[in-house]
Order: sequence, then C-alpha cells, then structure tokens
Amino acid sequence: MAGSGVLFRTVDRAVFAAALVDRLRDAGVAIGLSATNRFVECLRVGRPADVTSLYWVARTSLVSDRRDYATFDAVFDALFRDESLAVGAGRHNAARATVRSEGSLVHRSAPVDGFALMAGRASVGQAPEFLDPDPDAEDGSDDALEVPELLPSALTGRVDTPFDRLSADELALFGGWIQAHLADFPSRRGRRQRPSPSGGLIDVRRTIAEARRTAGEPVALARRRPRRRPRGVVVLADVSGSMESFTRVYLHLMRALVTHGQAEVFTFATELRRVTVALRDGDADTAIDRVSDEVADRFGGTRLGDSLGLLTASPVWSNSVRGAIVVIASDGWDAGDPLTCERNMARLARMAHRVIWVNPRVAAEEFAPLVGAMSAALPHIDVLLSGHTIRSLFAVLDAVIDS
Amino acid sequence: MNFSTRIELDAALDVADYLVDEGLSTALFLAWSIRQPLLLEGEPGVGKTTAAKAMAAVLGGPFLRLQCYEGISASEALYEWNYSRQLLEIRLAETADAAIEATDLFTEDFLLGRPLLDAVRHPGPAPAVLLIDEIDRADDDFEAMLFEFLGERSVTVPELGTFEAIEPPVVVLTSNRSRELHDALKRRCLYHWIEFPDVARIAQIVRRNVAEGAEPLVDAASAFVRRARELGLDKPPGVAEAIDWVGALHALGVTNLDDAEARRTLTAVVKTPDDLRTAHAAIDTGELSVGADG
Repeated sequence: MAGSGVLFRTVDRAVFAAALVDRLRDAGVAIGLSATNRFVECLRVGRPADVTSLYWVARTSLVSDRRDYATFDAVFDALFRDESLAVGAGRHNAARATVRSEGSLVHRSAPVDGFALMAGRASVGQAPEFLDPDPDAEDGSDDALEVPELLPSALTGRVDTPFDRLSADELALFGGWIQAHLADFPSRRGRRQRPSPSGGLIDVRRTIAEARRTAGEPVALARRRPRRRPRGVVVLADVSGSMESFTRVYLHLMRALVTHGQAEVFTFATELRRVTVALRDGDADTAIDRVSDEVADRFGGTRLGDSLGLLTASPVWSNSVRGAIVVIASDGWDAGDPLTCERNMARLARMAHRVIWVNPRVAAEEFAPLVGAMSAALPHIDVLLSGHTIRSLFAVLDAVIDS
Repeated sequence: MNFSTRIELDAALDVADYLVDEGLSTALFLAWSIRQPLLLEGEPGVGKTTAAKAMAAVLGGPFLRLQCYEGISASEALYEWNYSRQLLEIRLAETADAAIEATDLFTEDFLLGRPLLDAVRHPGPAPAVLLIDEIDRADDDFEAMLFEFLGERSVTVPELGTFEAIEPPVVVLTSNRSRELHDALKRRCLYHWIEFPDVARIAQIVRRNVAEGAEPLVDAASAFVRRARELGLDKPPGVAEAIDWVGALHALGVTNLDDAEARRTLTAVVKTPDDLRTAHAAIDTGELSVGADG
C-alpha cells in the first residue's frame, strides 16, 4: 500500500474532508474545525484502503458522541454505499435518520472525488434530504428546545388541546420537549460531605492529612460541604380502562423522568408492575411499546389501595419511596375498599417527601372529589393537579422540579 | 515498537491477549500514530480500561494510571511541591549561614511528579500510556484543568515554566457516561464507543482469561450471558461477569453447564433481587436457557 491508499490517490484530502464535514453538519452532527483537521491527519496516517476502514477512521475522528452515530451512518451510507450494506455496529437506531437513497452520489466501486462531493452539495436537487423535518426533537438536543419558556412552534397551538385529540406525532414532540424542560432535576442534601473549595465547613481531617506532607503545617485549609444527590422520584401510573386516553402521554412524561433523573415508574391497574427498565430504552417509541407489551393488565379494572399497599410493603421497592417525590397519575376510581386506600395513602405520605396527584378529571367544572378512593386519599396529598392538557402537564413538571 | 498499519497493531494486541474489532483497533492505531487523546465509552465491563493496559504492554512504555473520583484535585493529577524537602533545605541553609533565595527552592529537584507531569516528562523512546480512568466521576473544574494537557501535551508549572512532552504519551480517557462530558473535552479527543461483543467474541475473550475453562463450558456460559442481556435487566451482565462466572464454575468443578447449575451460580452473573427474579422466571419459561442456542 503505497502513497495514500487506493481510495485517495487523486483526491485532495482537505477538500474531501471539508465536503464530508459539511454534509454531516447539515445533518445535525456538531463538528468543529479542529476535528476536521484531525480527520485529515487521520486520513494521512490511517490510509484507508476500502470503504469500511474509511468509515472507522472518519467515525473515530469526527464523531464525539454515540448519539450521533446513527446520523453519521445515514450520511456515510448515503454517500459511499447502498443503504442495504450498512456496516454500522448495528444496535443504534439507524432507522430514525433516514436519508433518501437517491441522494447517494458516489457508488461503491467508483473512486471518491472530493470535488464531486462539493459540487453535489451546491446543487440543491442532489443533496441528501432528511425526511424527518425534526430528527432531534426526541433527544431534546434542538437548541430551541432548551429554553423552558419557548415551545416548538408545532406545539404552541396545541398546549390547551386535551390529549385525546392529539396525534401521535405531536405526542412524540411533546416527549422531547419534556426532556429538555427537565434539565434541573430536583435534588436533596446528601448525608455525606464532599470536598469543595467554596464549602462552608473546614475539613479538619483532610487539612491535617495534607499538613503531614507540608511538615505539619496546614498550608491550605481543606473545605467541604454536603453533597447534593438527585431526589428520588416515584411515579405510579394508573393504566386502567378509565385512564386509557391519557396513558400514552403520561408514559412520555415518565420516560423523561426516568432518563433524566433516577425516577422509578410503576404501573397499576389490577396489579403493581415496575416498568422503569422498559422505559429506559434509548428510543421513545420502542420504550413505550415495551411497556405496553409488559403491562398485561392495562385497561382493566383498578385496585388502587392494594397497589399502594404492595408498594409501601415491598422490601425492595419501598426504599425508592422513602424521601422521594411521589407522583400518582390516576382518576381515583378504585374497585377496592376506600379504607384500605386511606390507610395506604397515609403510610405513603409519611414515607414520601411530597405526594403529587395528577387527576385528569379535576379540570372538569363539575368535579368534586366524591369517588371513594379520591376522597380517602385527599387529606394525604400535597398537590392535586389536573394534567389533562400539555399546559397543565407543565404544571406537574414544575411541581416536581420545585419540590 | 513501531506500526505502519492498523493490521500490525492488531496482531501485536492479539499477542498481548487483548482482542479488538476493526473499529477499536482503528481508534487505538490513530491514538498512537497522531498522538491525540482517545476517549473510550461503553457499557461497564466491555474492556475500556484493559484497552489502555494492552496498549502499554504492546508499546513497551510505562503505564500511568489516573483514577478519577469526585473531588480529585490538580495536585493529585499534575504535580506537587515537596514541601518537607523545601523546609529541610531552608533549615540546612540556616545552619550553614548561607543565603537562600526563593528561586533555589522552586526547582525541578523539589517537584513531585503526578501522572500527567510524569507522562509529559517521560523521556522515551517508547511512549508512555496514560490512562485517565472514569473521567465522568471527576468534577467539571478538573475536566477543564485537563484541557492544556490534552490540547498542547504540556504542563505548566508557574514557578518553572512549561514542560513540553519529549515523547508524546498515548492518552486514553474512559467514561461510563454517568454524566455528560464537556464539549470542549470531547472536541480534543478521538472518540470510540465500544459495542458489546457477540457470543463468539465473548467466548474468545473468556478463553483467553480463564485458560483452564473447558471449551463447552465457556461457549455455553458466553451464550447464556449474551441472552441474559436481552431480558432487559436493570444491571445487564458484562464480559467481566462472564469471566468471573466461568472462573467460579471451574472452581466448583463444573464441566457441563445445565439449567440447574446455572440457577445455583446465577448470583455471579445477575446481581440485584429484581433482576434475579426476572432471570429465574426466564429460565422457568425456557426463554433463558443453557441448552438452546439463540
């Protein structure tokens, strides 16, 4: 293998790199100048001889986050190979960033020419176009989504629409928005102290330990402060028949809480079920489908009181409730005994830091907490919220964050 | 050691009992040849730390390791002044009635190198391999402190000036993604995400690590671990668990793994009560089983 390898005998590496980076940046992968420089350098020393090795050299030197791998694969495949030949290490979701195959300018057998790529970029017709207009909304990485007060324009008109009238796409967009909104997860003061230059307490033990190295003289005072730990959040979602139209959107909210904090999520209808692991899946839709598969009793009857009892009595699960913010999403219709519900709610309220009840029926004008379980639970609830539209769900999020 | 292509590095790593795929070997080769820091991420137990150790073994230079933790400070990473020796020097000067200047006390003699400075001062010819392990555990300000070192391969001591690397070290950073790293740090690094290996690869790795493990045992255990990962467990078992498990089975004298034996030793693979329950249930239904090949 002499010179710069088979692929690049006649190509200006810098032009080639700039063209590829331009494509990637258009597709939403953040790549700076220094990475481009590094890529050119890597092309020189790595001397990729075939498309596969070019793929690895480019990915290693250009992409600095695994979440960009899917987009990178899509752009790379569109340029250098037929989509069916994707070698990308597989498990990440290549399907989400779909590039139209007619965007592919260079066939596998043809030599790669940086100028051809540049030219292709200039003519609008040939450039790869993304089918999904907002591929990033799910990760919440879109710049516009990071400012809490701003809503993606597609959502602004829909904030007051009840969920049962929202389309699936709007729900997904909403899920992404929540993720961005949750940037500051509630925290609590931890029991342990940690070193901190600006801490209020003097760490005597560490000061003396360090003084030993300076002949017994405390040169610098070591300080410490209690560390902040993320506060536990436990979500109990009613998946019974009466909650059917709200369940899916609530799952989006829960997934955001699970992926951003360390929330535990349980569903209940006739039995209590932990779905935290299922919700942790990287892709929102897969996660929610997994939960639907796992929860066998959904849209059945409700045993609210018993489910609460099971949670507070469980040796493994009850620990997550202690000192946590508990969010119960339910309409309060319970087939069980209101007394059981009252007793278990009282116990839950004693264990938890704060109990937030989200009841979509609260919004109705004629609402009064007359349902047995709801009226039994009412004295033990800190906040009762409606959560029937997107706007009111933001109030739920605010209540969680401010706790 | 000198490598002109990735394939040569591959072979050398193989001799050092570290198995790589094309992506990882490309990343390691580039980290070595252009001496840019390499950021390795991946699930726990896929061999991020071992990659750096294997590189050091292959290159023949010293292996320097900086384990990050919450509250780690610059003096543990860069350098420290040998304060006791400085005091001693002053006392000596006093007894000899000699004049002593501040500049006499802040020389390289009184400088205690920590991993980063050691890596920069290493004279070669074989480059040092510096592993900055679990960088996500350190605080933001520590991360920011690394920028000079990662970008310029130099360490500045205000009293002495800047140390430039003689033989630039091969720097490997690892992260478990317990928090998001700063963009400025990522920008300075090559990046590779280590995927979880497939069954055949796990078996190969286990065989290298537990030499005495019988072949059918290793194959069955690897396949079992790979399938256990598909159950959606809270803490999915990694390669390290597979290695430990085969070691444990061997110590127990098991040569033929069956479902009953797997159940008995399951705690070596699955480590939380919830996950154990899920795994046992999966064995009951036959979803997770030693025999069936998935």
